[in-house]
Amino acid sequence: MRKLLTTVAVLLVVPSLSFGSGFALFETGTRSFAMAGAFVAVADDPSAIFWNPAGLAFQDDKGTQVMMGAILIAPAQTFYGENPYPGEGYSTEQKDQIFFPPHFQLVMPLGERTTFGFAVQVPFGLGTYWDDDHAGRYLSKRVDLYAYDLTPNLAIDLNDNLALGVGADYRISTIDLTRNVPLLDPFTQQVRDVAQAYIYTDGAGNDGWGWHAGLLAKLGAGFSAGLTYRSEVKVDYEGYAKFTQFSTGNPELDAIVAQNIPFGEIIEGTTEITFPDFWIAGLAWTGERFTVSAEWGRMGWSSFQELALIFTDYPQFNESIPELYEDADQYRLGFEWRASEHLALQLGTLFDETPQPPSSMTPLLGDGDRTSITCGLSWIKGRFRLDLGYEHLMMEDRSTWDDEGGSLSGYNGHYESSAELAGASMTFTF
Amino acid sequence: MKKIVLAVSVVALLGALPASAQLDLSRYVALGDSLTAGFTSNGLVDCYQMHSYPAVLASQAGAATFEMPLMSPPGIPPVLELVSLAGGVPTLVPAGNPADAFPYNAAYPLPYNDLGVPGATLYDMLFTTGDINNVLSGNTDNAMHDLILRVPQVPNPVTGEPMDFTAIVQAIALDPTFITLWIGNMDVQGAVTSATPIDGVTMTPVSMFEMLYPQAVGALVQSTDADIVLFTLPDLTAEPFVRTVPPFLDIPGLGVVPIMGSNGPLDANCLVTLLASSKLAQGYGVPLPGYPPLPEDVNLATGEPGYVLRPEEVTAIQERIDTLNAIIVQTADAFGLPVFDVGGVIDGLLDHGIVLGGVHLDGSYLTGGIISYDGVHPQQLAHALLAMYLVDFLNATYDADITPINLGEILFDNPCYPLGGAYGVAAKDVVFSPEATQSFLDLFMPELPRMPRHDQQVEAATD
Repeated sequence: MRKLLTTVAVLLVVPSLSFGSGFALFETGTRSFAMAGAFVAVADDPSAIFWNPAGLAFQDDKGTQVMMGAILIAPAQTFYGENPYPGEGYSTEQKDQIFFPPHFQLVMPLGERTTFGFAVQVPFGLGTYWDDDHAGRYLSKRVDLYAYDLTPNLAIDLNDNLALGVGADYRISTIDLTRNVPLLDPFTQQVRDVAQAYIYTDGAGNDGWGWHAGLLAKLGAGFSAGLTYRSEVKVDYEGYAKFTQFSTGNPELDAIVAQNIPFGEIIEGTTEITFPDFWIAGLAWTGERFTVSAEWGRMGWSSFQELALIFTDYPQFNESIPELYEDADQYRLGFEWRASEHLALQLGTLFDETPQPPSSMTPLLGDGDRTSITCGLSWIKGRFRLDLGYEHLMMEDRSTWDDEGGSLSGYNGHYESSAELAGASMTFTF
Repeated sequence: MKKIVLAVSVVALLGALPASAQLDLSRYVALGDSLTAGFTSNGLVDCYQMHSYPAVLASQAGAATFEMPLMSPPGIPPVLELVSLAGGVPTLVPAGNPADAFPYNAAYPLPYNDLGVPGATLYDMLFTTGDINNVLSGNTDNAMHDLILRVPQVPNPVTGEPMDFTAIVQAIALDPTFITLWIGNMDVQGAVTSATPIDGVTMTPVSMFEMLYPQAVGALVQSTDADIVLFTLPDLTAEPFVRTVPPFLDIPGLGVVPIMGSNGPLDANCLVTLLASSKLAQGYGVPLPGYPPLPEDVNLATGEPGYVLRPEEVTAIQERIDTLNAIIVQTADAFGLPVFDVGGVIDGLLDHGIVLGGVHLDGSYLTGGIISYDGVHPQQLAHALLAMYLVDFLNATYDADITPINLGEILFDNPCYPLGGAYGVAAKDVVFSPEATQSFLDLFMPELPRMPRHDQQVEAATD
């Protein structure tokens, strides 16, 4: 069953990228995306499963809804080296990639007061890809980390003005990491690349459970308030490592390297990640044509202190990558103008604080505070709804030297990043 | 033999320039020993010298002139290189014929800015002179001082009387604007090289160091207007020279057994020198009848070094270094000078190392990237790191603006390759050739025939 679920998730979900702070993703529906995710107190479409499942309870008059879509993400990041390593004057760019984390939601009323919801969504994702010969290749050339959630929910309207939603999160995650292995060549007393390490998981067995709950209250005069909590999810990974030897041009050295690295074998390893919990609270006002929504969120990123790679049979390859994340706040503001029965326009802006200290920025992830502006439109025709959205994301330019002592991995520099995001979702009502 | 006559200017002894408000490295003088000279892999050769910490610092500071006593390849003595990996055992020998090496700029008309003299003790810095004509005539007894100091005496600019042109006098003669002083390593290194700490023989007595060090610093303070930085000493027992060869042998049929030393079986806390590997290969230390024990202590009659430091000897050496460091700090306090704790920097590099973009450098012999093939001296990467920490220290201490160090190139480019090489997987079995061993001992063993040298030195120092 687990294999099957994994397969389903992988088929549904394709590579994604960190475009919330840390490696969180919030792109679970285009309309909420176009309102900058200020949706906890709105929660009136199927993306409520992520933002506030209580909102499902107030959607029972819409019948059964199926929403699906994807948000395309086109990131750009340039690294500028600083002393002592890789040094002033060095710069490199990430390779072009386009990610499209999809979402699928099903909302189905079970009775007058109860609504069932089910979603497949991508709450976390990370994808960075640098040139093979970039100066940080011993830390990462390419990494992909995906977390796919299968999320059943139940929402109940406790009365006409208050609803409660609860749900479970079954999370399946995969990690792929490729990087080079350095050796201080004793013949030349200079650093050489002697191998490539490919560390990966196959998805099966790399899973964990979490839960979430939300409250949505209609306060009167068009005001509503929402509160959501999503729990930590700890995923234990069982993975593998493969090494590919690079010739140094010195047969004697290559032979000795081959004696010390198990080329041709697949060695087993483990790691674990505790994905952070997430508090969201917000207030919204909805009039006949306008909705204004504001919210605050806090992600408990302090759960992510290290990424420990353990190879029981080859302890010489064990490694603890320091992360030292801190809890991070985010603020979102969204608007919607329902211009007509068939057309609505959305706007939004957000500030998303990074949980990553400058000292732990690496080619795996060089993060920064994010500021975004968003916009979108919805076209409604009968039982069909099309949402289109766009986001321009600006990330703070940060240096590893913003922390005293600089980079923990000795890879100093600053990262300049931005991204353009565009999304589309379709909703069918039955 | 062609005589070389140097027109050395000592006018600066009379007229000192006003102190600069900012750190001025336009006339930078580095005083010290082999560590300051850029001595690497048991040799002094131009490519390593030009990447030594004083040279890097001078370059970063934009000093127009930083003259060094550059030696041609294969170096003086020739630097070590790999000649065999047979059986996975690296063998190190001198890279060439000593007669092929020569000083490039022995006729330079002023004292060198880098006055680090390999093998020099504090006493040597104050009282030992050199004569380039002596070494050019084939007498290598005092080769390093001869090559670097070159002129034994000059007229005293005040009295006209001949005066010894020692390292410290040459430093003063340059009218320096900035001086780094890293002296004292060789006042203890003999105890490590010979694996025998003997006060007054392999280690300079504390009383002498306590007397001479403030004298040296006082002379620099009173005779120059330079900014002066004093350097501490590292833990010399942390060198790969004594941290590579284990105190046990793995003998087929017997398994892992302690090496039999001349004072009994070694325990796990004993340190064995790199030079012991040649003796072990000859059967010394095998704990079986018919095999000679590994000599632990120096033979005062033959001059053969010992090969084992017992834990109490390690402690004695470490305590001596602590004591000398305390004297250095006290002297700095007395003269109001800053102290760069380079000893602490090296201790950290050897103990836990440093990571640069996923590349781990540490004190591992041959593959650690910090210490060169002789197991004692930093190599070019370590010199760059020392310069990096020194630049940070100077910028912070003097509110200076010296360009920080960029390690992006040096990490992947050894300026001296392919002069030497070895591989460290079987580093514990490394073999120094007899020539390499003798070359090393010539420089870093105490001068036993002159014992008890320190009495003469005290006498000379108090005259």
